[in-house]
Amino acid sequence: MVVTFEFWGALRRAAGGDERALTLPAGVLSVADALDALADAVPALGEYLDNTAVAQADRLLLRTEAVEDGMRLSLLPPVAGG
Amino acid sequence: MYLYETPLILDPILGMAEHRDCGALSVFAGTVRDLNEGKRVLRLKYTAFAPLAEKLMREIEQETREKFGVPHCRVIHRIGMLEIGDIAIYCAVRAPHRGEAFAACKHAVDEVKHRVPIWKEEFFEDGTSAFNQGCCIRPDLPQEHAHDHAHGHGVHHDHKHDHA
Repeated sequence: MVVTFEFWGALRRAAGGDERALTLPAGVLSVADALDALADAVPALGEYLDNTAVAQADRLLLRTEAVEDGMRLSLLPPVAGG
Repeated sequence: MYLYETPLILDPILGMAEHRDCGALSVFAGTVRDLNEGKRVLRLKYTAFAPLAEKLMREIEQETREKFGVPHCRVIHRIGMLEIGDIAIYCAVRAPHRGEAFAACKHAVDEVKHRVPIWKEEFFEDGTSAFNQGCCIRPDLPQEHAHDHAHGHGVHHDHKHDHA
């Protein structure tokens, strides 16, 4: 299963790019599992992920929701508009 | 429209042609300032995750109208590179009286700051840049993290990110 992570805000700097496609290991079922796999692949992101929201298009996902092949997950660190 | 890469224009969001029963117009404008936590800021860059940002701004307008019983609330935000003094956000509320107009305007701006996926990167005089500390918008943030990461959002809370 391949999932593409899209990085926003300070995460781009930590990830070294705007996005990263990752082939997830067998057994990855949930958003939380996918983030664990991402932290393994890009250790510099690890410290940010607890504090990061995950969105698919215009919807915020819970950590318990299922991930599917081809999904695009947008990672949203703490916000500071205005 | 909610997010603009060009300078914000106030007139179209004022709702002056309608709401003839309203005796109040409250407008808030957030501008870019040249100092943050003791460091001289030269300019800043706003980025937004547009699909969710626009949906949430629409929801905040709707919630504000319902919560304060005001017929008109509009909020727009600039994205891209901004210079000192540029307008970053406009909020306009029409209401029958000033009390609810002020309160609704404050509420809408606070909610945009706390909930909408927009990020501010400040560029400093010394050549460095940094993203502002902000509010975690994860919907299922564990309680033990909430104290560390989320802000209290109380009326008297001194927000570190309250720069507008």
